[in-house]
Amino acid sequence: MPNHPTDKIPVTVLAGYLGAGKTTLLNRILTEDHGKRYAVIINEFGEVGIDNELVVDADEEIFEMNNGCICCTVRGDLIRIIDGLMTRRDQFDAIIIETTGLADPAPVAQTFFVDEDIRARTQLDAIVTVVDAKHVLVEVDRAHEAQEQLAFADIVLLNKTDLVSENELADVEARIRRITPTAVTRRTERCDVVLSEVLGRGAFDLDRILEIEPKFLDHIHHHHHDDHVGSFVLVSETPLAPDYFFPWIQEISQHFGMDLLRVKGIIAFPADDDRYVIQGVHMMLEGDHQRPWKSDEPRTTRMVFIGRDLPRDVIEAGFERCKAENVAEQQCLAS
Amino acid sequence: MPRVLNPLAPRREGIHGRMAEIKSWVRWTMGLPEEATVSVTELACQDEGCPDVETVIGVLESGRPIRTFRVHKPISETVREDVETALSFGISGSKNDEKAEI
Repeated sequence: MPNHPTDKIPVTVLAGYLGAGKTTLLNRILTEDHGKRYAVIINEFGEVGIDNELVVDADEEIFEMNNGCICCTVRGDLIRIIDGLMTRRDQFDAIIIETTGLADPAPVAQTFFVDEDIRARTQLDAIVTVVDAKHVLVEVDRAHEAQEQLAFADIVLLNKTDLVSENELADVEARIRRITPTAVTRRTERCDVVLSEVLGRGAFDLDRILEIEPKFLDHIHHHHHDDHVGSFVLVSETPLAPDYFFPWIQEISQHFGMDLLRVKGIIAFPADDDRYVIQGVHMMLEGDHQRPWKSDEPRTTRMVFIGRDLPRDVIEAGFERCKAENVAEQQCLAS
Repeated sequence: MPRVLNPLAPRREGIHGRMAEIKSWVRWTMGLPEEATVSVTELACQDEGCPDVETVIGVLESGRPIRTFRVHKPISETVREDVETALSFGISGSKNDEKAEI
């Protein structure tokens, strides 16, 4: 969802299991002296009170807007609540949405892709998933929800690190990286992360991240995994033919969209001087020209796919056919 | 500077004027209270046999099921008559509409 700095209201989504430390983080955000006022949307009032005047209770109302083969599920309650909050726009600078431990992050993320008014007035800043370093591996083994909350994360707060050894932490981080290679992981003890590392980062917006960290996708490699949710990266030093690439990626998103949790990529086209940035959640895809390739910059295409049991071989075969040199060969054979 | 055509481009800002009109037509036709929210979204499907572009209208009210209406046109081409026709048909077949009564 490429976007540029605007006066849109930043929205941070806090995900994570009960007891991971979401409320601790939320109370820090609300009480520390950073000069910003937050409206908070929560799914359930926990035992720990929220120290804020503008708290709205959400009820996880699913709004299915399916069209033909496009399955698109958004959160109706968020649309309604954010619409209502806009009448008090002068009372806050940003919005935080705290989800329940079992909440599906996809409809939350899709709400910010799809609903026109929400897109016009807000900007999803980051999905922050808080995990308990001591219990996260058990949760990931036991529940698909835990894997999917990690898969959607832009930032993972690995909390309660004081309860595990350095070796255990390394194992946890490696597992998290396998599920979500594009997320930034921060170690914390009592959610004592520097808040500027979590808020206002524009971490959801690949376009913005690439402006700050041009090599953001470069370090990502494929990992073998046994998890329900996994990831892989496809790389091409050959530019992709747009006439093949766009139909292919749209077909992939429709065919595997239910299991395709997130896709991010930088694409090089042969007759285009700009980097093309693409991003998607399930069947919702969006892409735009970013900035010109620099003269000394390799025109490398990188796409990261994060999803449930995605058929890498099928997707990779299609990706190969999009390479301009292969397209030329296919056209020669056909003529 | 050459650029490829971009079928995945973010939607144009220009549709927001028409979107506001669609919302006001829905509010007026349905007599909605001020606290009700009207959501307008455009969805596209590439498959043959499916509508290419569809405008999905959701009426969201606290404590009531979401009511959904569809116009088989892009937002920019949707006119008042389309909205009134969609509302008059009422239930459109999606799970959200099961309890809709128009």
